Amino acid sequence: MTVEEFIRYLDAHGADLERWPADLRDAARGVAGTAAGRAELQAAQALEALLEDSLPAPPELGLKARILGRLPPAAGTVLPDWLTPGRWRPLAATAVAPLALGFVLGFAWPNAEDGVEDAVSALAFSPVFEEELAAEEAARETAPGTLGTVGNAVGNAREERDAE
Amino acid sequence: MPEPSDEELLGRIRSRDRAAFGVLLDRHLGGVQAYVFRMTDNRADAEDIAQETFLRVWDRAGTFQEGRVRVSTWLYRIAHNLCVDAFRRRREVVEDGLETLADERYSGLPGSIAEERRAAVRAAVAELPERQRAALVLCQLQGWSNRDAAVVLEVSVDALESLVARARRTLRKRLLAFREDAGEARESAT
Repeated sequence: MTVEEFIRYLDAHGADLERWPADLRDAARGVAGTAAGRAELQAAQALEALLEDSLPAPPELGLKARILGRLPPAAGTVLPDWLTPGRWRPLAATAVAPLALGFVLGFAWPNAEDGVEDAVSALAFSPVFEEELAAEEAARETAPGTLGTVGNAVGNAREERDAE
Repeated sequence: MPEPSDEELLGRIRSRDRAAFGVLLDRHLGGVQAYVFRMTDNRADAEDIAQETFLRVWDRAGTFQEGRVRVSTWLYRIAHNLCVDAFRRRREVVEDGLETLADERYSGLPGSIAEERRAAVRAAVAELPERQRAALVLCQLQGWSNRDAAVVLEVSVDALESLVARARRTLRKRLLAFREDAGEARESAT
């Protein structure tokens, strides 16, 4: 191993020759025994000492407890089993379903009552209804209580309207 | 009774075993926090990212594919990816002109020579490209083998060795004066 190769391996494997690949160690020790090799090894060791002095491991300062505190609650420690959401889900669905159906029906026929009122109003002011009222009054005057007379009266009223 | 392996602990964590999670924290929290701190050079970020790393382990223990990588490698890969996300967000903030990294990190009053030297080393490390910095921190400061560090960074061993070698060469040039001081200090101490 030349000094140049030794320097290249120092950069790749560091200044601790024991951590070098086994097949390089003996040759490395040989170069490290020379003046040039020793100087390179010492320079590498000095650099590593600088790094280790400047970037120490920080203290943990309660970090473990903080991490454990961030874990989700363990199952069964907060709620008893019968209070877990899963237990109540079917019952909640049963309770909510009729309510939802009510809303759906309500929105599907939003003006049902208004529709009935409209139909009654239309009937009340339609010509047919007026004719029927007139016929009823006529029937009451002639033979109150007989349906056949009402029918005739309606027919008479219609004829009068057509003639007009 | 032998200590459970990381893989055994993770199996128990899948079953929501908090005690096993506590053991995994005892075993790896310090290392992960140190890695993230050395990558970000910011204590608050290091705590946040280390915390997020382990919460993800808790949430995603079921997704770990046993036999492909070691639990510790998986853990550091999560931490590394969170660091990369943090760097990306920080770059966006810097590009928006809202802050500068140098001001944020090294705005303190000058201290002792040793403090100035540490600040210079940290600045030089912080200026390394992210992957070089990660390779250097894992191999040099966290004591990982090149092979394991390559798995964390998802690169080949050759690529990892190239990254760490370039990082060392850059630092050697930038820290020449300090390195000689440190070398002298070390020699006088021994």
